[in-house]
Amino acid sequence: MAYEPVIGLEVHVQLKTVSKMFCGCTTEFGGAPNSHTCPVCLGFPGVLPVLNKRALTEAIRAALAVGCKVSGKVKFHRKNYFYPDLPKDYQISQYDEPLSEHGCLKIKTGGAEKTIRIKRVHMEEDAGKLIHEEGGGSSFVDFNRSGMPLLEIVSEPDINSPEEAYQYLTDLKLLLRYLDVSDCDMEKGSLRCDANISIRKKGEAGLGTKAEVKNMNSFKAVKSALEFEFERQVKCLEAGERIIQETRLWDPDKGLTASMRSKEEAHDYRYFPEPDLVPFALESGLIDAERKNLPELPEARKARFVGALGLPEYDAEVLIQDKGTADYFEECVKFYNKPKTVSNWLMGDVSGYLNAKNLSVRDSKLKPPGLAGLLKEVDSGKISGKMAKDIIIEMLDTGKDAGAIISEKGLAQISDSGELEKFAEEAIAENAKTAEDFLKGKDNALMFLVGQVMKKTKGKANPAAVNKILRDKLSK
Amino acid sequence: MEDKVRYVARLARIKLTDGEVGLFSRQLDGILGYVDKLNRKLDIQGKAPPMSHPHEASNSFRADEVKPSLPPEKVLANAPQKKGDFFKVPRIIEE
Repeated sequence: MAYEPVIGLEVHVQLKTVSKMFCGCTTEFGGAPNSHTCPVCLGFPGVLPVLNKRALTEAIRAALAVGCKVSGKVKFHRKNYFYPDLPKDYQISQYDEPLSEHGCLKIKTGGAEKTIRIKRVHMEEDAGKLIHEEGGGSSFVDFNRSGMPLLEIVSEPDINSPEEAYQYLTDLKLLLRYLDVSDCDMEKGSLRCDANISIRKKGEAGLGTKAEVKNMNSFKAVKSALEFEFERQVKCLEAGERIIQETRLWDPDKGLTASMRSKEEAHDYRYFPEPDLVPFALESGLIDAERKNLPELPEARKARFVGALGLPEYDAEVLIQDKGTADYFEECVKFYNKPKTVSNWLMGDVSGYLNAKNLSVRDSKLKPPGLAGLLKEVDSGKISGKMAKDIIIEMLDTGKDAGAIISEKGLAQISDSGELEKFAEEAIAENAKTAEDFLKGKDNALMFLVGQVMKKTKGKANPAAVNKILRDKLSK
Repeated sequence: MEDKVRYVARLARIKLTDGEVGLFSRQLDGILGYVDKLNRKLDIQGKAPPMSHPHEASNSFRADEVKPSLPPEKVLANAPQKKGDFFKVPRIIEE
């Protein structure tokens, strides 16, 4: 009997604010331990948290972008549990009235489109960070992360393969990057993902007992962990065992999930309304204003690249994967209105160069007017496409413009027919046999002669012009 | 009620003597009984939503601005144990 996995993902992203969620401490990454803390985020008695407006508006933007219905009311709850990284012994979160509910994200896997429903998007604060002493009996706590503004995005269990989970995360991250509400950097912990997975027989609608999988530090790790966990659960059922509801940790070195020692009692967080934060109504118009301010989202941008700019679907898909690249592409097109040509150069030589140097297109020395200038030189016949490939590397290295490099190096193509005719005659005279072959109908022979002329001109001849001159001369 | 008191005490990591469990159970019974009177006398089903805060407010937030954090010596001034700039706690076993 074939089984299928049923997966729901919980994604936490850190919102892009300069100060923490409920206090004025900086959100800057790094810093000496506990240097970004104050009485509020250290949970000292008697302090009052006050919500960061930017965290709220960014949360609203993200919620709107995934099609959630945003509540006009902001209400926080305390989630109570004891852990040394949580100085107040409760986390300020949202519970029965989250910021928003009922959204969705469209993903594409293997050519098919699928809608993953999003259950809720809500705000909460982050906890501190624990470092365990190597071999010792102590742990150390750094509260710099305590009180960072987080957004929790919870999907419905609509994901049915590890690949879909990977795609969902990729698309969600892209969307959040376009919204500019989070860096979504898993290495810095600004995006984290936990997965709930159960299995069922294909075709069935019910839900099995789920396991929660944690500790994945990349999208690839999420995919691998889910692949492993699916197999494990299938083996479990086939051996006639029961799946236990538990939390399992992904071990990237061993490539497996292992049960976290289950706590002696199930979690009871005793949620109750946070008395320090007055529930409040959002000023009417705030949600609509945020909705109007939403930027063009990846899906819409792709459609426009295909529809209005005539790019192939594939090119559009590649270009929108990074907002900076898509912006750069559009700027180039402003200066040089042949989108497909620009796209070829960006996806080919330019990205090859940048990837090798681990640079983003924004940091490169080649600016859109520069690239446009180079392509115009090719169009005018002054240089060949092949020469342009060398010139662009120099432009990327130095930031010089194409014209300067062409004249400095004397790279301008020889299109002057008088000069080319001289070289063509020489080539024919020196290769009489080849010329004869061509006349007998061997078309390839001409390419050899073109090559000879290119050699004589040190590659500076315009190949199309040479081709024409040779044909004219030979057919006389 | 005594079971509930013991359960909540355990969740809150509070140690209670049997005498205290009895005392708090009686006190809580009294309070809940009093509130329950209102439940029986007043029909508010669907007429008033549960209230978690006494007054209504709108837009209670602050601007996203960085304020100075506490100096390290103040951060750690009350820490029972510390190491360098860290708070030190008994080792937490997670795996």
